[in-house]
Amino acid sequence: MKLDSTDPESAEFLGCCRQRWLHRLAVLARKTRDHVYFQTTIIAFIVIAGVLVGLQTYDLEPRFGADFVSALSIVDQFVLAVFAVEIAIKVMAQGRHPSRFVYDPSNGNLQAWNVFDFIVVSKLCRKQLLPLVVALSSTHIALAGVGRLPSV
Amino acid sequence: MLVGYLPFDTAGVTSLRTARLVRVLKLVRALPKLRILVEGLLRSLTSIAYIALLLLLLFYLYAVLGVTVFAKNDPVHFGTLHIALITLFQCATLEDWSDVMYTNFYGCDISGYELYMAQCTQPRAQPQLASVYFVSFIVLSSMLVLNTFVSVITTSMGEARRLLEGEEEGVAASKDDMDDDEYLEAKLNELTEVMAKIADEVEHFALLEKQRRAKEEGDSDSEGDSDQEAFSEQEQEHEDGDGDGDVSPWSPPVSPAVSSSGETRSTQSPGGRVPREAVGFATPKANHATQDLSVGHATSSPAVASGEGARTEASRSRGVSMGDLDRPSNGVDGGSLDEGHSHPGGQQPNRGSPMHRHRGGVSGGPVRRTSAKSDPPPPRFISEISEGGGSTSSSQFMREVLTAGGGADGASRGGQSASGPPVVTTIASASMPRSS
Repeated sequence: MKLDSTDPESAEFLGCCRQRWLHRLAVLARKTRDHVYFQTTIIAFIVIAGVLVGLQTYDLEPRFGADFVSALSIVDQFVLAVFAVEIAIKVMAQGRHPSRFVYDPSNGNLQAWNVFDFIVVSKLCRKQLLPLVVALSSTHIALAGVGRLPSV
Repeated sequence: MLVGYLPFDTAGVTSLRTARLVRVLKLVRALPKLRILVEGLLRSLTSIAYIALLLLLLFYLYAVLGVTVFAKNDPVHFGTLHIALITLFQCATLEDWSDVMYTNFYGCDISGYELYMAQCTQPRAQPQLASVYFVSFIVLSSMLVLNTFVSVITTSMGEARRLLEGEEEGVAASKDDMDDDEYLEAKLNELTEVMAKIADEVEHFALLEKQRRAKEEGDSDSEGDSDQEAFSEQEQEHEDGDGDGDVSPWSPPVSPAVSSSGETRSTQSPGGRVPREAVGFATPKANHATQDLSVGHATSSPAVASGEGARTEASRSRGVSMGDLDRPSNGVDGGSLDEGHSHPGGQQPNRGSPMHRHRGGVSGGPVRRTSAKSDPPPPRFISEISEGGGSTSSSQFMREVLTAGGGADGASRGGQSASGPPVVTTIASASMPRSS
């Protein structure tokens, strides 16, 4: 907070702890967030997610086999990861004020969609991605020869 | 036989005949009120498409939700996604939606599955979920979105009506517009006529000029008395165009000729007949050259003053030019004449080359004349006249003519005195046999 008064670039400085690279990271995140391709990609993934949800209402296993279902779940997890990355980028774009991802005091708007996204994605991540990550890391650790799974 | 190979069986032909009934839709054009309706519908098509998209999203959302929540209890209505979509459409049209709701409200074993109890394998009552789900869906889809359809169509219908009424009024208004257009067209025609008249006049003038030139040429061609007459004529003209030389940019070298030409003539007349003859001896082409020299003087003044006035000035200044031409015949100030001509000749570096002189003296004239003879489109003609012949610019033309004049000078000078350069003599000797 002291940085605000001392730094002449305080208005634009987005990093913290006087770290230029954090500032650059935040600026990069902001650029990415505002890029038109980024937004288009996110919308495309939203559509894909919708179709996936519709597909998963069916009982696909007898007709298409277990491979197809597992492939669908992998795609689903990939989409979820993309959404998680999107939220991470959006949070990073706020720089030193991550809370502005949820609530922007400058215009007093509650970012309702962001809140919704954050809740849904975080819940889904804990449900789907975390086991995956744990499984991956465990296989990694197993391959490394440690042979002992860390308790999660 | 052939018809048998066509991809229409009798049923197809019948259906084609039925398709011909589509022509009945032409009634739409005939009946204005109907046209309002159809136009309104067509106009609202894009809005309807977007509303349909919104409705589809809503249906999809609710269908996925319904399948996940109600599929086990109510497989007949929510077994799969597409069945759920159909059920939701039925609910959206308010057709027996309460039955579907109560089936999920109380469970399939209590309500709704009397006819197909065998499919009610996993009955489950979900009162809160079912009520919220169906009430919200009915409110959203049927009462909001579907009514948006109606409102959009009504709005576009009104728009179409207004537009069509405006069109009917516009028919009257367009008559005024037509009048305006006609007025403009008449004006345009008028202007075109004027333009054509101008072009005709210019052409006529050019023709007259050509005839006059041809006449002069004939005069100068025939030696002796006629030549004398022509000369005196030119002399007279020269008197008229006296002050003209002062206007042209290269007036200093010319004006001495103008002032002295009278004396020149007088001093010349007794014994100085030779140079005059020399000019006369020259071929008609050479005469063209002399003429072109005069024209050159004429067009030298357009360099200052352009247009038709300049042209008249040109015809007046012919005398000056002839005097100028005559001046070297004295053999006295031939050098100064050369200087005088070389003054504007600065624009033309290789003027001294014999070839160029020769070309200027012999062919320079005819080229000019053909350009005058040809019939280019009127506007170009005007520009030609104002700019002095077919040459691209007045200065270039001047140069051309000057070379011609130089050739003529050379010829005359060579005929009189041997003081001229050998090149000039050759030109003179070259032109001499041609005249004989």
